[in-house]
Amino acid sequence: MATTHDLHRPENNASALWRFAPATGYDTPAQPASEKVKTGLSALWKRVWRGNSQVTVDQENSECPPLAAEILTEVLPEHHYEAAAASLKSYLNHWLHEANPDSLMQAVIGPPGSGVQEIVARWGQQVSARLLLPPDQERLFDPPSDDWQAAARDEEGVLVIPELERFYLRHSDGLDLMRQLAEWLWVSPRRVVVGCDSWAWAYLSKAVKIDAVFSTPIALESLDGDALWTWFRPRPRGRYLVRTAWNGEVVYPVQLEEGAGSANSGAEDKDPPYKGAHLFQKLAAMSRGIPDVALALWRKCLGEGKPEDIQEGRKSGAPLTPIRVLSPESLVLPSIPAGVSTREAIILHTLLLHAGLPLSILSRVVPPCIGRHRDAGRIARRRPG
Amino acid sequence: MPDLSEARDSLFRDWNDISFFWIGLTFVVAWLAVGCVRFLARWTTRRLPSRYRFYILPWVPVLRLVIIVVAVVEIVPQLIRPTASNLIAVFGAAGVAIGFAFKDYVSSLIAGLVLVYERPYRVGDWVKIGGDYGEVRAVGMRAVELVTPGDTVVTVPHNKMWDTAIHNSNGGQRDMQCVAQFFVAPMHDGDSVRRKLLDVAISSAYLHFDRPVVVVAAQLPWGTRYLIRAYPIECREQFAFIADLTIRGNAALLKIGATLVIAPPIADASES
Repeated sequence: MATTHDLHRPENNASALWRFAPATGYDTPAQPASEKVKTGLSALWKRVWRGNSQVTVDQENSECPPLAAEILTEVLPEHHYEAAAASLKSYLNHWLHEANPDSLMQAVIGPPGSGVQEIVARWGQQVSARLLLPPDQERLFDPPSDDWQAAARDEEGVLVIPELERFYLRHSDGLDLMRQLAEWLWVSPRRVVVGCDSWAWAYLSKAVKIDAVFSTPIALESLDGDALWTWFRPRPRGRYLVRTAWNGEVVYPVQLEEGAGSANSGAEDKDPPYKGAHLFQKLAAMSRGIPDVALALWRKCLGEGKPEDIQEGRKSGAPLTPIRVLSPESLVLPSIPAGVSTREAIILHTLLLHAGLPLSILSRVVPPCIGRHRDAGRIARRRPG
Repeated sequence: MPDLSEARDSLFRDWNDISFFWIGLTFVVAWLAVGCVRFLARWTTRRLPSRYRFYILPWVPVLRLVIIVVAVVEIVPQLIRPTASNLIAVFGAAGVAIGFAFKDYVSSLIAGLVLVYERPYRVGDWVKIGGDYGEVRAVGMRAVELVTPGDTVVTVPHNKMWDTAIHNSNGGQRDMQCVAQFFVAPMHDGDSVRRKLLDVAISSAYLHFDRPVVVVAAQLPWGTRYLIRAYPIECREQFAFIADLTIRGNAALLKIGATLVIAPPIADASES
């Protein structure tokens, strides 16, 4: 996990945010104990007393309308894929050029929302490696012997498989291709890097012992509150006045609270201690430190500023666009309702294991009594967010 | 020889000293408390994820026992003078009388007390008692209620536990081992059949993945029997799980060219 100490080194901010480490040490950011108890009791209360009823939106949400799309585009940070790929490059650099590494196979895994597939694919492009893309999913039920692998077998250099989870289906006929691939990797003289969703990795480790082929997988470290604060800083810096909606605390830019004057000065690069640490810790805990999940939550948290913020923004010199941050607790997030049936749980679990599936494949992977039910279509067609 | 009326007078309180209102109130409160415990346990388990029922429901008989003991401790001193000799006399006489009149009933009640700590079955367990198999729906003071797969409620008195084997499939756990069997003509490739059956098991949507999956083969005079031994995510899914394994297993075996056989009637009775 990125530490405050690392974040306070300005020249190292990007690489400190996106760091890779063995997945065995992967840890999610923890909530403060008092917050954990409060959240747990609140969740239990909602579950027992409200059952399946829709959670009402907090009052403050109705007072902060959503931000305009163009402002959101400017305020939200870029996806982390390119920066994380650069970090992966430096992490794997030694392994890549070592004459006799312990293992020629390296797996990079991550939970849904970590963007591990995109990161590995971009890393592959950065080091000019051969990318092996997954076959059509329909073909996984009856894979050809090895025609699509032939090219990969004959070439030399690094082979990159960014989406390993697309090479199998949880079906009695859907594991053959993965077994062929595992057997080939076992004897291959090439260096191979795969990206894989952690749910699929856990399944494949049990089903085909894929973990025996690779050395200890690595993962992008989870983001803590400090890291999120650094990542979410609006670009261009200093044009926005971001306050928390519940107590008006200034989150960005930091100079305003310290009376440093111009919001456009370069002083912000020094990363002084910031306000709203509690907000970012909460976001980190809620998102489990997963970048795309944290970004989606942050996007939902941002709302238009209040009229008094506009006045204050004018006073500070350069005009600042006011933004209010809603409490993450007030967000209506997707959740599994109490009393969910086994049928829905199986559909959701199947989608997780495959990082999503088209309905035509999903209906063949789950038992017929489930796959042909209208719930399968309803759940499978839902889009994130 | 002691006078009988004198002994009775020293045993029981005076009629006027007994607070029948208090006894009645204690009885009603205890009855309501038992009802509340049962209602709250069921209400809570309906609202929480189903796995919590294995932690909540087993407390119902324990709490009921505590409530009954408290009620008895409260009521008995209202009726008799609570000296050691009086208590021995009352419980001794009651024991003899009840022993003759309600032997089986009392035997079931005592068995109900024993099972609170021996726990041969708990609510949510899948048990076979005598010839009855089903999920334990409720554990009363005298009897246990089973719901069979055919949705029939069977009430089995607790005193069966003295002389009948109780088969508990899950013992308070969420999962239980299930078995699906397949019969294949002897001339076949055993490795490919075994691997395919393993794939059938590990690709089942009902499989509890943290538990082992085993495929066992045994040679019978008329064919080879394969058993998949695996665990479903929930005991309640056992029938769906076995059906899923059986249907997909047979289809997968046919696809790889294995010949399925059925056991001869006599062999079926002796071998399966």
